[in-house]
Formats: sequence, C-alpha cells, structure tokens
Amino acid sequence: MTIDEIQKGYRDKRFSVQEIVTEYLERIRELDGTIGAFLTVCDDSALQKAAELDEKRSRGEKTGSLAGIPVAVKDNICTRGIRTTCASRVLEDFIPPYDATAVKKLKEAGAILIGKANLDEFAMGSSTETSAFQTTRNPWDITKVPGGSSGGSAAAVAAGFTPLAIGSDTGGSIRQPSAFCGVVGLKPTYGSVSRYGLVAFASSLDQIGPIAGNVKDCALAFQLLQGQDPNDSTSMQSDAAGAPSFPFCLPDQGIRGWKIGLPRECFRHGLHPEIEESVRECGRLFEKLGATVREISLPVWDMGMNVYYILSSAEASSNLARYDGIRYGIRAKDYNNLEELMVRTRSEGFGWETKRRILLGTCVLSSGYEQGYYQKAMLLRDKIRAAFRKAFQEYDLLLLPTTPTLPFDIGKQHSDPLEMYLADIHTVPMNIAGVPALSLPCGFSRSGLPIGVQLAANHFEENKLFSAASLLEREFGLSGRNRPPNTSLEGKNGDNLMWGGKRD
Amino acid sequence: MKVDENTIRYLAGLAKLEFSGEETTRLAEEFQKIFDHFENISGAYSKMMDEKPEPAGESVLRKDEVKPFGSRQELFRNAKPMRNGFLVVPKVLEQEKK
Amino acid sequence: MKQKVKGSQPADGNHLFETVIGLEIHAELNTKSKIFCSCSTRFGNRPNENTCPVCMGLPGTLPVLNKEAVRLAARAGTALHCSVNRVSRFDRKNYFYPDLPKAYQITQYDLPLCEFGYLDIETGQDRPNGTRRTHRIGISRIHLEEDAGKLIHPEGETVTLLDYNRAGVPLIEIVTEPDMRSPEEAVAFLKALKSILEYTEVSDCRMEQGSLRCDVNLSVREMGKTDFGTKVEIKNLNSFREIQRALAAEGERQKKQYCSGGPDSILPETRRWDNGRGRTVTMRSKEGNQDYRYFPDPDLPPVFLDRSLLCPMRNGIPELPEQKKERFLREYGLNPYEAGLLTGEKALAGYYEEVVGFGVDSREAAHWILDELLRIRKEAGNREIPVKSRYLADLIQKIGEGRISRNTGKDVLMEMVVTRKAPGEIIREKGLSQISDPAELQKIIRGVLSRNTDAAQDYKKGSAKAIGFLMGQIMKASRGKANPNLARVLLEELLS
Repeated sequence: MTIDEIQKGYRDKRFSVQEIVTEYLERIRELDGTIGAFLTVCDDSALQKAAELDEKRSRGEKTGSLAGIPVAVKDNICTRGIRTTCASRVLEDFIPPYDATAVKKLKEAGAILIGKANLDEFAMGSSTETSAFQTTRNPWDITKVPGGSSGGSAAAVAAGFTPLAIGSDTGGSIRQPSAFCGVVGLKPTYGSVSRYGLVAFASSLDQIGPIAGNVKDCALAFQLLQGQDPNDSTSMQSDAAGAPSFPFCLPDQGIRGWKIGLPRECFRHGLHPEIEESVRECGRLFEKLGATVREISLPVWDMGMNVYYILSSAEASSNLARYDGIRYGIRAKDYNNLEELMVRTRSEGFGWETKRRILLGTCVLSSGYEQGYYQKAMLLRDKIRAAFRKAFQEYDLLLLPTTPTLPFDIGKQHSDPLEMYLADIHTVPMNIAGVPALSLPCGFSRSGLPIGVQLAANHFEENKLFSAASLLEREFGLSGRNRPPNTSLEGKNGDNLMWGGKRD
Repeated sequence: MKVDENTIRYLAGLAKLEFSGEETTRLAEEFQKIFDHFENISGAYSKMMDEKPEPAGESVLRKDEVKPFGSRQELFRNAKPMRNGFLVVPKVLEQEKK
Repeated sequence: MKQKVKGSQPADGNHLFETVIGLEIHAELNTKSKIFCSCSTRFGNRPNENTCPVCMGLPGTLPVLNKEAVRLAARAGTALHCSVNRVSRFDRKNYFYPDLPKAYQITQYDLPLCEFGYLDIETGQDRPNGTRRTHRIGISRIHLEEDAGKLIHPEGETVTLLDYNRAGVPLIEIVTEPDMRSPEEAVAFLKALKSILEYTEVSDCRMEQGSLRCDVNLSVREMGKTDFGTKVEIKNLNSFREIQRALAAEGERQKKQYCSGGPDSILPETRRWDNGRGRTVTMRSKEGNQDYRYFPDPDLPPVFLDRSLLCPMRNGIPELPEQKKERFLREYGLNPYEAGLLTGEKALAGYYEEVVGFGVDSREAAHWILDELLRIRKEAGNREIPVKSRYLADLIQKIGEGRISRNTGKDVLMEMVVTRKAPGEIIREKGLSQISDPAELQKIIRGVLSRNTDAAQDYKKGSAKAIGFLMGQIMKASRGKANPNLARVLLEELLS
C-alpha cells in the first residue's frame, strides 16, 4: 500500500496503526530470514508507538504528515537508544545517545521506526556484501544482490516489509540498490537534508534520502526530511521548498516544452542492452508527453570515478580514524599497551574493503607522495560541477541509466577492484556535483530482474525530478499494482503487502 | 607513482592498521594498479582550471550559548572502563603529540 | 628558509653567538561555550562533565562554529596589528592520540584568520633622545583551532585517565617570527602579549590554569651571519620563569655543542624542559616528521569576515597597554617603572585611576598601591585587589591631612584588608587618630624633655642623633600617635 492508502485506511477506520504495524512485523518475521534486510527489528518500540498513535487518534488529536507509517532506517543513521552498527564489528554494540536529525523529523511526523536496515560496512560498497553481519538478498531473485550500500533499505521496501525506508547515498548507494530492487530512490541535492547523525563516510558527498514503492511516497518523505539544520553547517534551505506545489512542480502543463538530455557517453560498451533499451524507451515516452529529448555530450563519467575514489577514500580515512575502541565501540580482547589496543581494535573490527579504502585515502592525503592527488581531484571536481551547470543551463533534466548492469550474483568475487567500482559509474558524478538524482523502476529484464532509470536535475530542483518521474510512472503503469507477482514474497495469507495487499 | 610493500607498511602505520605479509603484498599490487589508472586519466586533465573567483557568502555561525547535553549516562554508556568519571586506557607513554 | 650554517669545523670559543628565538603560543578564548558545540568551557567542573556527542566525536556528529570565537580571534589579530583575512578556512590535522576524540584536530592550516602582525617590546635600552628603544617582534599568524582533552597519569599505575572537558575549547595559536634574541626578550614579549589579550578580554592568559601555553624554539648562529642555525623546539614550559630558564639553558647547550661538534652536530629535534634538573632533555621516540595529512574540513564552510565579526567590543577596542602607559606617564607624573607596573594589568590600572579619581595625589596613590597593596595581594596568593578603591583613597587622604601617621596608615591598611572595614571606622574603633593638636603635642614633648635632659643637652651641643632619640621618645609617649612632622617642628622650637 502507498502512504496515502495507509493513511486513508486510518482515517476511514478500516484498520488501526497497531494492526498495520503488526502485519508488517509478522511479514518481517516470516520472510526476513530469507531476505536479511534488517539488522535490528524494533518490535516492541514500534508496537508501543503504534499504540500511542492509536490513542492519540481516538482522542481526535492532530498527528503528523507520516503518522502511523512504518519506516526502516539504514543502520548508519543514529537512532537514540537503538543499536546503530554501520554493519561493522567496530560498532556492533554501539547505542547512540541521540537521534539523527532525519530520524527526529520522522518521529515528529509520527512515522514508526520498524527496524534498522543492513548495508555495506560503513556504506562502502555496491552490493551489501561487505556487511559484517549478514548478506541481504534481492527480493526479486534471492541469488542476486540487492545492490548497495543501502541494500537493506531497498530490499525492505521491495519485499513489502515497510512502505518507506531511508538510506544514504555517497556514490550511488540509494539509487543503485533502488534500481536493483525495483523501487524509487532519491539522492537529494547536497545540503538539502541534514547529515547530522549520519555516520560520516565521505562528508562532501554523503546525503540521506528516501526509498519508497512509488514516486509520491518518495516525494512526501523528501518534503519532510529536507530543510536547513543548525546542527549541520553544510545544510541549506531550499527556496523551492516554499512553493505550494512542492515537492512537485505545477502539474498543469506537465512536462510539455521541457528539454531532456541523454548523455551519449553512458551508452557504450559495458551497458547492458536491455537497460539501454529501457532508457531509450523512457526517452520516447517523454517525447510523447511533449518534451524534447536530445543526446548531449557530458564527459564526466570516467573522470568522475577517479575523483570519487580519491576524494571519498581521503575523507573516509579521516572520518574513520575515530574508531579506536576508547570512547565507544568494541575493544580488542588482547592488548599490552595503547598502541596495540588501537591497532588491533581497528584491524580486527574493520572489514577488508573498509581497511582498503582507509589505506587508499591515507595514501592520497599523505605528504610523502607529492603527487597532489587530492588537490588534482578537487580541481577536477570543479570541472565536473561546471559541466553539469552548463548542461542544466540548456536542459531541464538528464535521463540516463542508473546502473550499467543487471543485479549480479551474490558472491561473485570481483578480483579486480576497479571492475567492482565501475558499478557506480553512472551515479557518482551527481554526488560530486551535488545535484539531485532519482532512480525509478521502468520495467523488468527478460530474466525478471528490475531495471531502473535515472533522472538528474539541477541543484534544489527535486520538484522537477518528482514531476517527471510521476508522469513516467503513470505511463508505465508502475503505480505498484501491475508488476508481476513475486511468489517468493507472498505472505502466509497469500497476500503481498507491497502490491496492493488484502486490505483493498 | 610507485607503490610497494614499504609504502603499504608506512600507510598502515599512519592509519593504525596491521596487515599480514601476504595482505601487504596483495595491497601493494592492487594500489599500484589503482594509481597507474589514476595517472592515465589525470594526464588528460592536467590543464589547470582558470582562476577561481574568490568565494563569497555568509559564514555559518552559532551563538555563544551554553546548552549542556542532557544525558551523561547515555553519552558514556558505550565507553568501556570508566573510573570516577574518567575514561580509562592503558598507560600512555610520555610521548608528546604534535 | 632555515639553512644550516655551512662548514663543519667546530668554532672556537672566541666566536660570539647570537640566539634566535621564536614562540608558538596557545591561548584559550573567553567564550562561554566550546568552539564547535554548546558545551560549557568553565574550568574545574567534574571530569567529563562538559561533554556532548559532538566534542566527544561520536559517530554522525558535526561541528558548528562559535561566532564569539571568531570575533575574539579577529579582535586579537587587530590588536596585534595583523591583517585579518576576509576569507579563512578550517583544515583537519590527522593524528592518533587518546586526548583527540575524532583522531583529527580542526585547525587552520592553509588560510589562517590573521597574518603579518607585530608587537613592539622594550629592550631596556634608551635611545639618545631618552625614549625607550623598542624591538619589533613579528607575528606570522594567528589562527583558530580546537583544544584536546586532558590525560592524567596516576602514580605507579598501568593506566591513563582521560577527561574530555577541555576537548573543543576554542584556542588561538599565535606564531611569532624568530625575532627574539634573548630569553629576556621572549619573556618581555609574552608579558606584553598577555597584557594585550587580557585588555581586549580575548583570553584570561593564566599559565597556571593552562589558558596560556607556550612552546619555544631556539637556534644559535655566529654573530653577523644571516642564515639560521638548526632549530630546536622545547616543550613542557609552565611559567614565564621556566621559559626564561629553559631558553638560557638551551642557548648554552647549543653554543657548547656548536663549539665542540660544529653547527651540524646540533640535531633538529623537540626537547622537554626538565625544571627539576634545570636542563632540556631529548623527548622519547620522536616519530620524525609527523605526516598530518592536512586537508580542508568538508564539514565546515569558509569563514567570511563581515563587519559584525570585526566589530571589536561594544565600546570599541579599549585603550591598549602601550597607550595607557604613555598616558599615565603624562597625566600622573609617574616614572616608567611605576607606569609599567600599573598598566601591566588591566584591573590594576582601572583601580589606580579610580583611587586618583577620588582626589588623591597621583604619586601617593601609586606608592600605596605598588608598595603596599601589591605586596599584600601577593601574600594572599590570589588576584583580587583586597581593598575598595574608595577606602584606599580615604586612607591616603587621612594620612595627608595628618590624622594618622604613615606607619599607622600601614597598620590600618592591613586591618582594612582583614576586616573589609572603612579606614575611618578602624581609626575610630582603635583610637588610632594622630595627635595633631599643637597644644597637646607640646604637653607630651615637654614631658619627654623633662625626662630626658641629657638628650636635650646633647642636641644643644650639636648632636643630630639626639633629635632622633627624642622623637622616638615622643612617639613612645604618645603611643605612636604623635603627628611626627608637627612634633618635630614643635620639638625644635622648644629646644631652641
């Protein structure tokens, strides 16, 4: 069910919050053993919150915009009193004493935290396989990865465990798993959603964003989450947020007259032909709706990967230095002095990929190597920003693939780290430039795997993204009901909460 | 840029990580590949950017007010040994930082 | 910049040496809250009381810059004749140490807030025209950074205790050019700096509380050379006196080393001052050049100086010590020593002017404050001026009017400190009023003379000692209350 449908059900008294939450929890209990989306399930607190809300409603009290809506929160976002592990041993027993601003906003709006979702360790990865605790499986095909790093969040929505989830996106970590899991995921403009409480990976690239089963739900969540936060010096207030139509644009004329760019460099060797076909199909649909769709040159993709890996690993090496066992987190069992405490805690606690990236970042920043990689990357970053700026002077939106490949097999070892990193090639430049981008499910492969298409817009123009995406969604009939049923996701009662459910 | 085992050992020391000999070799090979790759690409973009205009804007500042963090207990629940309010670590040798 | 002096033969002892000294000073800013979070900066709270997720570096936390910290740092820069940069930035200095919660310090490396300032210090020499010779000490930069926590090493234990109350307290780091040429100059600079920072209310500057810290560096070179010798850094200096001693000791050590092993035998290193043994010692396992991997902190946007941040204090920057001293010399007819002492401390200067403001002679006021009050305060061991300005003025006036003698005045002053009472009250209670009535005095004098005819005879014979003796007797007879000047005059009249 969509958020609207759930809330309408509450208003019409067809069901209570407790009933809905109980159903979701039952479904999780039944099926998450297979999927592995959650690291922590918050049964007790969720039911208690649900009871409180029902109580409030019965008294006729006003409730928030997301009242009674379950939400899954990626486990690198701090939740007060609830374990937040970042899928790492180093934080396996860490209980934050404060809520992230995003979580605070969700709670104030009446959303119900249903569980903490699995991720790649410290959000470093594209498959959720580097989690220290469990692997998450793609609900559409459990032999495949759900993508990453927000794999747990995306899978939870796709499997009908929750109507809404929040994740984080540093190089594609919301969009790529959303594409792999057939759900809608937004990476907002850098600075539009507070990072306070998001465990930092790459501070100049990270953003928290919503994942949902349809565009409108994603937009509602974004509307709530965005806004300047005095606790985050890099957060900004969007002027667009003041408009009455926000988070959409004025819907009347649709996208008639819009110009949409198709970056030709994305369509090359390595891009799966069915994905290319899907993207071009979207292009044709946009034209049908009255937009002009044109191929453009935007040569930011290869440059973007290098810039991304240099900047993100440099920032990560600094952000992850605090994990030394002294103030929180695990401590190595065996040590003779402080040095050993720190080195062993870190070496035993961090997984391989995390350690590799820390080392890479240390190298990039180290003065022993006067190659100036970091400085060069910063200059190239400006170049990429400029390229997007130029593109958006002429075009309203960009249309491109989210990922170059279909969801791949779990356990497919990438012996070549470069190859693994290339999974992010279409998503990374938007993080570098700070522009918003959204992944929208636009069909299925012949093998039954979800395909996602990506839309990007200029800074603070999420309204354009949502407007265009919802039109596309309607055209594809992707409001959620027409997808092929995934029988592995059927619950005890033969229903599939995600796709309409028995409550109709 | 050349990356070998010595490089990896030096970096590991800086990052307070330890690796086995085998891991060190593996990392050295991987990193060499990665940095070779960086070199190939960055050569193409070696032309420096035009002079950037001096940034302008408003500072992001906070009023000088004291707002104590309410819950001491929660703040320190994750700290392992504590004694009379202090955190406890193995003795730090007389080694000035900075 | 710092090149070794060429040539490796040891110099003979006849060469004259010059010591070259630079300072690196950290001063805690007088803000209520920390630099990047809203925890209190109050000294002395229980361990880990002034902490929060931000200054503890908990996962997910972010820094937000304290406006007052920027204002104070800019004010310090202005008072020290620096150019205050319109745009400055924060960088991360990455290293591991248990007192550093994030394993990096937020500081300013590339673009500091202030640069290229100076402070003139007196060299103690006079110019031909009689004015003091000054030496201009360059200030290379002043920047903002956060302080680290504190480590405590309990005796005989295998653990170290950590207190993060201090972590995140705002600091300014002031780096001088290597312009000082003697330990005395270094201390003079520090005193002048402390004075300015106190006056502008930027920092308390209390070395004993750690709100002022100083590391020094020193090198030697043969007189006349312009290249710099090998620089040695010295840490663990806890007072101005230790700084002076350490610099003197290190200067000697380097000169000896130079003479015996040549300039190249002086190692560039960091040494620790051992106050007990009166020398510097090599610090254990120095890791060579630390690789701090500086890069701009992505969590903090640049600092843009605008008028509201440059606007110093509510009523403008106060008259700074140098100007005040000049004014005291002019207006109050004090000598440079007196003026220097009085203006060295802002509170003291203010007190002095209050006392004078009640109509007391300026030189008398200076005497009483500098010779008596400061001594009393030092013995009490705290910084509070123990007597109200109005009371002191009153006391001085009473002495001037002859109501009590000077000596009695000193006693009354002690009593004022202890009881906090007004001088008039004390004089009344203790019946200390001086006898200034001529008739009464003459009575006492006649009595003394009658009992001491020998002395009277001696005086008439020309003995000067006799007067002293007779005066003593008069004071004794009057229980110290005789107005000495008047008594002497009357005595001489009666004797003649």
